[in-house]
Parts: sequence; structure tokens; C-alpha cells
Amino acid sequence: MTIAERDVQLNADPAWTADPGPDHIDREIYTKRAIFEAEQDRIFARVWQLAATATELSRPGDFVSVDVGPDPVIVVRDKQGSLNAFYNTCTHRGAELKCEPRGNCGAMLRCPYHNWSFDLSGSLAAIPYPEAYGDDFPKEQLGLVPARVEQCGSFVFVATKPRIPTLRDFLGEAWEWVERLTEGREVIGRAAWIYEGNWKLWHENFRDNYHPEFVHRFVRDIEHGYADPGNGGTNRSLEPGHSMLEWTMISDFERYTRGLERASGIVVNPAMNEEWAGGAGGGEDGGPAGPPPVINIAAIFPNVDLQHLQISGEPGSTTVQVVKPLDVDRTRIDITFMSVTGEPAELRQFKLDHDADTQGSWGKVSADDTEIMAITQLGLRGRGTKRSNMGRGRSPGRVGETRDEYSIRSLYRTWRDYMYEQDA
Amino acid sequence: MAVMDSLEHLTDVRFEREQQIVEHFLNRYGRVLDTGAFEVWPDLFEDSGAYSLTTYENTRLAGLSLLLDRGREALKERAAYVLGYYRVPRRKTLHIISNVLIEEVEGDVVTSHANVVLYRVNRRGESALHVCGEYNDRIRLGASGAKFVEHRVVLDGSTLPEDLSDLL
Repeated sequence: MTIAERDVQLNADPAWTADPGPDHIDREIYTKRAIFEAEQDRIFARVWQLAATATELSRPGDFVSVDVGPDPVIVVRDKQGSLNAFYNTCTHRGAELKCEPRGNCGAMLRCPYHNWSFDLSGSLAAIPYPEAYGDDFPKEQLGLVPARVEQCGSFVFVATKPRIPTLRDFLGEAWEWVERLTEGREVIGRAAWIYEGNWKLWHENFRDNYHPEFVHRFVRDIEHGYADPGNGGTNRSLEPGHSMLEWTMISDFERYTRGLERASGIVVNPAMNEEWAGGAGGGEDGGPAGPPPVINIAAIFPNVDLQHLQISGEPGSTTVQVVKPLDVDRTRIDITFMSVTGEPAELRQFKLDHDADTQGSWGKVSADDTEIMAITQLGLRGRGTKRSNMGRGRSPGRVGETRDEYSIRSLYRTWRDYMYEQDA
Repeated sequence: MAVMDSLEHLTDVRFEREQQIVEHFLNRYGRVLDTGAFEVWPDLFEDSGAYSLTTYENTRLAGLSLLLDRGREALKERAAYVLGYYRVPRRKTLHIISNVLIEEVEGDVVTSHANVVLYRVNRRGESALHVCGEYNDRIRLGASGAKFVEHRVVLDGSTLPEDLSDLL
């Protein structure tokens, strides 16, 4: 079946084409392999994909390799300081020029197969034993095929065939948030994990502030009341298709210790825990030193999630998660921890020790999320209920209270825009 | 890696007593984890002891810990999570701790290295390799028995399992 034939078939599929209204989504978008495959061409090949932070590409020859939908792409800093992006495939026989996710290639990108060498602007600079190709060998036509590369804040994005031509228009209302949450920060660590669920579940979860108090006992106890209307939290769509959750952090350690004891029988004294003291606000004895901490969670369509904790009004650490679909029910998350460049050594050490503690498949919060993703994927297989509901927040507009679902509806409106488009 | 710096260590029998004690201690440690006796897990550390988990990749970068629990209260907090505070359920584990090497002895504190392989029963009921890595420990061999001064777990891979909430 050709791609065109498959698309015709998909467009006739009621699971995909029927628009049930703004509050519901057909559950087959999480489970149907044909839809998963179409997403690679129609969404992931046509978005601006986060490739790296600028600090990872600071020297000439620094490179990162990343997939843009089905296409491997490499981004490299050249001698003049510019960032260049190319399809990561040798124009000779197709080997990836660099398989590792990041590194420094020196002055050339050399193919490991037959040693064809490309300079950092992508031109074919040298090939071994060229005489056998004859005098009319079109060397100048065999440079690397360029891709697009643009930067916002500290983030470097790449694209091959973007549906929205410029990064600024692609990020839209999220542009200033990406700048604000990434500028002046550098990578201090990273990890990855794979869970058994559809990719959209994880990204959707970063737009969902209805679940935390039920999935995470940590949130239920230590952030008791985080979503109450009086706490000023919002669930906001940032067009086109992005979102921002914002709320004031509460640190109710007494309730937390009671919850720990109830679940385990263990009594913990919070005053003796260095992590809690450091995270409580930065004041003396761990008390609040200024404005209460604010949490921002930005979700960038289709697969980038940022989490930022602002303490005492100062720029803080930003955690970045990139969601990579591996199969219809299998997803990889790459997490990067960023901290403020030039911060005091003692503060940096504290962050190295504790910033990752709640995140990831090991984390006090996120370990529960990965379990819920797998359980949800298992349940979605069932055909007893056709559609999932995303209808919280009934007021017109695109900003609601913390537990509302304006941003999830924005995600799926944008998902439909990409998937429906006839000339994609 | 200090132990590999000199071939003399291959025939070094100076630490034979410490070797036996540390092997016995680590075997007991693995048994505590595999029997789910997490309430006694903090007792295997000194009051100021530290438990940390990271990946080999992060040891080569800036030194980020995926988690670090320093001091008895932080260790008790961690134990409370695996005893029931996590929503993610406990699944049967098997810790294989091996290749124990004593690298240094200073007073009553031993610096040691070991390998760890964690098997776990997965959601489908299969027993499967879950994760593997190294222990880089400092263990005090005191009058009241061996206790971790520092238990530092470094995982080999940078891509981790779906649920890494188990103690290692």
C-alpha cells in the first residue's frame, strides 16, 4: 500500500475523521498502528523538533544527532560560529555520519563507511581515490542535504519540512516562555527511560493538572490545596497548540509526614532533611525568603515538556522532557536537567544532589506517572468505551483553573489540524 | 578503579578479613531488599549515611545524582515510599551482588566496589533483567556491625526501565 493509498484509507476511517466535538477524543488514536504511522509523516516530519541546548553546541565541531519524524538529522557548529543542520546520511551509500547523540567531530564530518568527508558547511570536501569516478564527477552536487535550524532562548530546533515555516510562528505564544525558561541555563545532567504506552499520553499528562493529587501521594500531601481556586493556578492554551500550567507551590511538610506514616508506619522528622530545607523557599531554617515558589509547566506541541521552579522570584532550574514515539504502545522519554549558568558552587551542588529526585522513572513523583501510562494503555485497548473525555472547564476562552482541560483540548485541535490536512 | 592500577592487587590478600565481612554485609543487604523488609533498610546505614543513584553517563558529566538521600531522616523517607507511599506497586525482585573488591581500608572504613544485577517480575509475570550497574561504597566495620557510610549506585545504561522505584 502506498502512502497515498494509506492516507485515503485513513481519511475514510471514522476513528480519525469523525470530529466528536471539543471535549472528546476517539480512543483509537492511542492504539491504532495505522494512525501511529501516519503521525510520523503528518506530525513529526512537519514540526520544529527540539535538538539540543546551545551550550551543547558551543565549540566548532560540536554536533548533536536527532530524528525529525523518520529522518535522521545532524546539527553542527561551524568555524564561523553558525549552526548548520543536515540530513544525517552520507550522500555516497547512506550510512549515518554520526550515530552517537552528541560529540565533537573536529573539522570534518567523516562517513565511517568509505571515509567521504564533509566540511562543517556540508560541502563534500574529500573522498578517497577520487580518480576512479572520472573527470565529470559532480562533487559539488554531493554535499549534505540541508535541514532547517533556528534557536529560541537556549533551545536549538531543527525541521525538514515544517508545516509552519518559521520557528517563531511555530512557537507562537510559547516563544517568550521558551526564552524565559531556558536562557542563561546549562545542562547539568540527563537520563532516559522507556514506558509501555502511546506517546500522546505522556505529553497530554503535562497539560493535565487534574490527576496529580490522585496519582501522586506526594502532591496530595505536600501540595495539599495546590489546585484550589484561591491559589491562583491556571491551565492555559498557548496557540498554536502549546500550553502553560502555572500554580503557587505549597510545602505542607507536616501533612506530608503524616501521609508517609499512614502509608508505611515510618515517622520522619522533616526538620532534619537537607533536601526539604533547601526546597522550602531558600530562607533561613528552610523558611520562605520571598515570594512563594511558582511552578510553570510548558508543553510544546507535539512532544516537548518543560518544568520550571521559580524560588524567591529568581530564575531556577528547568527540566526538559522530549517524548519520542517508538511504537504505538512504546515511548522513550529523554530528560535533561538545566541549571543557571554561573550560580554559586554550593547551590549548584545542591541541585546536582536533589534536582532529579522527583522526576524520571526513579522519581518520587514521576515513577507513579509511568505506571499510570502503562495502565491507561492497557485499558484503552478495550472497546467498551469509544471516547475519552477532556471537557473540564466550561467557560468560553482558553484559560481556566488549574484542574481544567483547555490545554488538552488545544493539543487535540492542533493534532487534528496536522492529521486532517489533505495536502500533507 | 584504583584497585586496577596495580597488578599487585591481583594477589593482594591483605584485606581478606574485610572482604569476608563486606561480602556478608552486601549479601544481607540484598536479602533485605528482596524480602521487602524496607523498614530495616535505613538501619543498614550510619545515621549520617548516604544512598545515591546515578548513571555512568552522569558521572562523566557534571555529577548529577538521580536521587541522593543523606542522613537517617532522608533514608527513612525513601523507605516509606517503597513501603507503600508510591502508587506504583512493588514487584518481586532479585538482587545479584557480586565481584566484591576491597579497594582501600582506612581505620574501620572500607572502600569497596561490587557489581549488581537486578532481576524483577514484570507486569506480565515474567522474571526479567531489570537493570544493572555498580556499587561504589564506603562501609564502616564498627563494633555494632557493618554499616554504609555511603552507598553509591552507578547504573551502566543511560536509558532506564519504566519503573526504577526499587531500592538498589
